[in-house]
Amino acid sequence: MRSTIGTWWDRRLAGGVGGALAGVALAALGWLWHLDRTRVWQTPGLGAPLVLVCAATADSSAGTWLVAVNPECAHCLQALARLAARPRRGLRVGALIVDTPRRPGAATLAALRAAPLWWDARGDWRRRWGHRIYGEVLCFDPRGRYVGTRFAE
Amino acid sequence: MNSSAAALAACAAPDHRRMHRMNIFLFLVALASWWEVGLRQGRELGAGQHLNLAVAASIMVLARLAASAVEALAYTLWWRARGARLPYARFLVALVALSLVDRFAQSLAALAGRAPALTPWLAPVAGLQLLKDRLPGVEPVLWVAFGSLGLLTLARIAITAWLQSVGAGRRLRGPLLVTTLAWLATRVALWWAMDLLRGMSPLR
Repeated sequence: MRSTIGTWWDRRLAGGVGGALAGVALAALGWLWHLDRTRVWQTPGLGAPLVLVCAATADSSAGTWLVAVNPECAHCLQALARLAARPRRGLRVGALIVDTPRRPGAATLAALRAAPLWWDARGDWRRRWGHRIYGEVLCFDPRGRYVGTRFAE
Repeated sequence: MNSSAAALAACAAPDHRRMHRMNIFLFLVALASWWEVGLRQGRELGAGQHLNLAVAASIMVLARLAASAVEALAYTLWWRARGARLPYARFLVALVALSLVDRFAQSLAALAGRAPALTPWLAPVAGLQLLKDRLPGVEPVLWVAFGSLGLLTLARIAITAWLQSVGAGRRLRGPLLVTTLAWLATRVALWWAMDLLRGMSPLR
């Protein structure tokens, strides 16, 4: 009888602990989410601390679009190639090289086949701007001011 | 056990066996159906270039099975902690069979894609995500998390609860509450996780 009651209590306890752990995990996720969504992120901008590794001479009277690219990500390289293959009048389509701690070499720059190419040397795209999805398109007006971000095609 | 209870139990046993056989049949249909979906989606994504399509589809089926196995385990442990025994294997088979409801919702969504005029009629059944293009102000991540909400999802929740009620020998109210809360908690967790993954980056 005593062992039956003990087993029953053990099960109740295990169920309670399991339920509490699930609740704590959900609450922790919610807390992280709240911190992330209420954090004041910096507005993206062209220029320092980004490093211009390949300048463009093309007309930018309609602005500049930069595709966030990690050179090791085939998917975002394709997104850049697709966007660059559809030129729009006055719009420059380049790339922002992100999550790349070392300065990109000549071979990497040649593979991107776009200009201008900016290198995010300090990791601001992720750490200060709060952006996280490769292939997204950061849009800047002709004066280099941030307009918005479009999702990857 | 008195004689009338024994007679009732004897009548119920063949019904349970028949239901289990039907569930096994639907389980196999569900696996075949998800494999076909995996094959089609893999082809659309160009998986054949990097990975054999059949392998990609099999991985998708295994992932679905694993998700159902975890779901079934969670409910089984929940009821065991409350002193009720929910047969794991039978419940898992029934849950996978029940995933045909999701498959049906996907088919209705595809139908809405081909015939947009039907969308307002299909959305309450197949899921609110069909109205995504008509409500551009709603955050895309909320569509990901709650877009599947519709009559079919409600039916899936109700049947999952009923299976637990029958399997664990409990009244329907408790399993219904547990299943609804579990659905809601996983959707909220998905919403927050997706937001954390994307940060300030936009979603389609």
